[in-house]
Amino acid sequence: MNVGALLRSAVKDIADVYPKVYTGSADHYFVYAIEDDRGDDWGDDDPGHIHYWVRLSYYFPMGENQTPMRNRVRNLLQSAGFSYASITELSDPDNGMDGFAWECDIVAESED
Amino acid sequence: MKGVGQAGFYLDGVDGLMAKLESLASGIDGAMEDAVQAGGEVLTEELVKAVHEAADRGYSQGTLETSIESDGIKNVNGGKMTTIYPHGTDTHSKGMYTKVIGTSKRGHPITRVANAGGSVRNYDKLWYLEYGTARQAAHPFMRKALNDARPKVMEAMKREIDAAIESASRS
Repeated sequence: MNVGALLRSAVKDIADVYPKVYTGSADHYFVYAIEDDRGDDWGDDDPGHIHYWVRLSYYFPMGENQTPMRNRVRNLLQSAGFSYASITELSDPDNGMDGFAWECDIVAESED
Repeated sequence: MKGVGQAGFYLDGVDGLMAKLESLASGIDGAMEDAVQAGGEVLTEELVKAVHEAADRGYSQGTLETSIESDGIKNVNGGKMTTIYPHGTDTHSKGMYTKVIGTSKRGHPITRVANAGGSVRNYDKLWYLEYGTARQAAHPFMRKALNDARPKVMEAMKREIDAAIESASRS
């Protein structure tokens, strides 16, 4: 299982998802980061599963009311198998953007 | 327990046991404080290490990692706690400054780091390192540091509690 692909699939109806940083010109986009990953269910020196902690950040033009997105994305992530996400508000005035970051975890088979 | 009869049992040495329990109870506050202190020191060490790894890209002066410290032991809801975070400002960052630009829906100040003159709060530096910006990659380190620290913190706290129990049982 590819965590990035899982995230892309979960929020595909909202905006595109990019790893780490977005350098294009779109004004609504997601970026994701793997905060940590650890082996789980060890056997014969190999993990049966990998526990991933991920952060999905959504950026949009400053001033837009995107409050409904908080629970919408949280629910989409849960439906995709992620844990109930905590949400942090982001603000980047230098780039004229606001955002939300959802932080959650998932136990999966592997990451590309 | 000295003996068990058919119709019941009787105890001996209860006074001594009670004295030990009372001694343990009177020392529990100090033991908890020592445990939180010990756990906090381990967590601080892990956070400093994680910040060093995340921030070290050739130009870091190390002011952020050295600003991370505990704010002491506090009594909260009958328990003990400590908070560990970056203190103070980095006056070496002459090219950046922080100002409050608004208030979040929860009433927290929203700050920005700008590009001319002054110093920058170490808390803000940590925030930008952890979360990045709309056009700058994040360098998440908090989760990994917490995952690394958790068993070490628990072990350090357990050691303090065990030592307090051992000490009380000897007295």
